[in-house]
Amino acid sequence: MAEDNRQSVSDGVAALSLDRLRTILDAYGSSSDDWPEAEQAAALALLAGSEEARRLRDEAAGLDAALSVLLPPPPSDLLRLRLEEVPNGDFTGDALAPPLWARLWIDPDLRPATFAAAMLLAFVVGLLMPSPFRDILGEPSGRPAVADGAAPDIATLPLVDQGAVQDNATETALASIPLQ
Amino acid sequence: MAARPVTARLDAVRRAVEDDSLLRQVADGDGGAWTALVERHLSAIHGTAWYMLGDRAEAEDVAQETFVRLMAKADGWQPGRAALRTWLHRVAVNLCIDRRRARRTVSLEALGDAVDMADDLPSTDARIDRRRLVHAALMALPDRQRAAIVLVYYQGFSNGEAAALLGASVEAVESLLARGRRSLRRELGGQASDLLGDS
Repeated sequence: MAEDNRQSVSDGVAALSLDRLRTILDAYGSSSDDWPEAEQAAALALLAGSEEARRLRDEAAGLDAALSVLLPPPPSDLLRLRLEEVPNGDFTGDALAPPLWARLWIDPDLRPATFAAAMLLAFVVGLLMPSPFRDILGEPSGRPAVADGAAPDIATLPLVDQGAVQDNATETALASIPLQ
Repeated sequence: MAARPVTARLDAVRRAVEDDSLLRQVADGDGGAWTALVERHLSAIHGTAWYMLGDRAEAEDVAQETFVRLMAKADGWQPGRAALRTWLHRVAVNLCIDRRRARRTVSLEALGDAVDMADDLPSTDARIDRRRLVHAALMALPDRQRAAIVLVYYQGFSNGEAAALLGASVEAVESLLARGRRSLRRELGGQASDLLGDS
């Protein structure tokens, strides 16, 4: 049966054209709950009797499904904190921002940098801390005191052995004498 | 939505009355009432701003500004005159349109980042790509068409509510919706036919 724009049904509901159904579907989507109340019954009747109408509805359902994949992110904790401050009276500028220490951890954009800075700080502090062995032996630098006959504690040895430095200087001086 | 069940309409009326009551308490200095109001509306306002602007940080700024304006309005709020939900969305949408006019262009790269941040569900690359395409198509619409789609499709306003909110007739909103959705279908059908169920 050929379908035209004036297709209608005769079961007591007002006639609805395919053009009008197309506009309804374009505007409100495929779910009949969302259609204008006054035209719901006629639109449903048209759908029941028209293959073209059902094709249009399926097309609208495809767009509905595509739109449904898009979900907004939740508001951040930082925003919630700011909004809690609104009743306190100052509605503008920095007054709404939480303190820096709080933002460093709350703001997801700042969190990696905060973590990296904390690691760096821990490393630097570790370097600057005095060795516990130096504290025990009471000699913060130079050769460690070693009791007669006892093996030196390797942890207390200096990084550069002064004797080795002297040996190296001798070898360098010898190497500078031209060979015959 | 264009037509809502009676229960949904009654629920909307009940919530509007509760909102009015909370606002009265806010005007009297009740911090707990303020927190409750924020909790009831923040997600929707933030979501609308995000759909309108395509940028999380800007959406948060708009949401904050909207609530700051609400606080400033609390003392003079007239119960029953306008639903708070509608008022908040009107402010947020106008702020978004102002920002869009100031900025005019949105880079696709920024849109992609925004969609990545929205990815709060277990995702595959394909799903993220689809979101990027849909978001880019939505952002490419004229402001008022996008606003109509966001309000009616994503936020569930009736066409009459959306019309009041946008300062337009119901017919004009219907036209905005229809033109917007046709543009989206054209755009998405050209780039990703599987999105529209063609595959």
